[in-house]
Amino acid sequence: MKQLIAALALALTLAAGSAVAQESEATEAEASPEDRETSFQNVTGPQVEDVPGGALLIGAYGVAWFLVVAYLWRLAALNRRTAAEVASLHYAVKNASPKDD
Amino acid sequence: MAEGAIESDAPVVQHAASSPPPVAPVIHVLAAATAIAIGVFLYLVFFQAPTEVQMGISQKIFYIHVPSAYGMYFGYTISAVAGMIYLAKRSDRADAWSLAGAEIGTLFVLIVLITGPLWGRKAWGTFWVWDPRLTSTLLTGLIYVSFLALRGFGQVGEVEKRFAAALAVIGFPLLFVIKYSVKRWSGQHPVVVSGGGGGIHDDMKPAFFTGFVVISLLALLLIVIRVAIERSRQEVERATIDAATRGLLGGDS
Repeated sequence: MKQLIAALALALTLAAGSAVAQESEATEAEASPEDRETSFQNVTGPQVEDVPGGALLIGAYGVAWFLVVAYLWRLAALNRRTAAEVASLHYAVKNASPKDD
Repeated sequence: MAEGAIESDAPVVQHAASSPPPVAPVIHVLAAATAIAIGVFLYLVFFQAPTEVQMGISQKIFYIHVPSAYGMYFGYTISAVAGMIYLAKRSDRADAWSLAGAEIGTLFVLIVLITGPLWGRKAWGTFWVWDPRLTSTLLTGLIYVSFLALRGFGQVGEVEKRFAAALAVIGFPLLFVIKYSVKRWSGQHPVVVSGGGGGIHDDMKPAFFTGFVVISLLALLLIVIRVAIERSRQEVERATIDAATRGLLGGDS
């Protein structure tokens, strides 16, 4: 009987020890040092932080289309200037009296 | 804008008009096609293309960034080829195409160099790294910016045109450096589509390929407009010299 009780106690102890060990491992995995700040260090590489992707997306497309529109605006100005030069030349020639002829 | 508003050998400027010159029909067609393509493209990017699992919504910058890089190649290649023709034949038409190509290529390299860092801020945590592809793209852009600076300073003569054409030709091999820098020197730049990358999801392909259509049409439209304006300016210059030579402008000929 004593032997039976001793064997049962040993089995329970082993089972409990194994369960405690597993729980301890799970707790360590859940609360690893990476999950909480333990110190502050200088940045040595690219700084990782949460960047709002939507703002970057809108910024990228906004800048791209702004540049295209600005270039079209410049082309329109250049076209107007050329037309003005043509008109000016036309006026000058129309009102001029040739020197040689 | 357009085609030969002034005949250089005319005694009087026959075709000069006080209103802006007519726009060629091809430009109207291209402009309409481009506008429609832009609408479809924006719809596909913002309403149809899925959000990428790693990068999130900022991955959609990719749909404008990569086609813009293609627009840069397109513009600079036209500039270099036309520059070579100009150096060989001294053709004003080639000069106009070279200038237009350089301007449009620089417009798109600007878009690439702005949208890329905005994407990099999310992907790498920083706007800029001295990655081989980024660095070679910046250098190429600077060469063509120097082309435009040379053409932009005051009166442009034959010497300036030749130097500018030579710059366009010199900058051309750098396009291959940009293309193969990822393979040759590795770096941080992604290789999703080319260079042995894993490709993109099928649902992303419509937005991506429509981006190429949009940039192709836009680049072509802008180049055609710029060439037409430059050709008109060349005609005006010739007519002014011609009129001055004939003593029609009141100054010394």
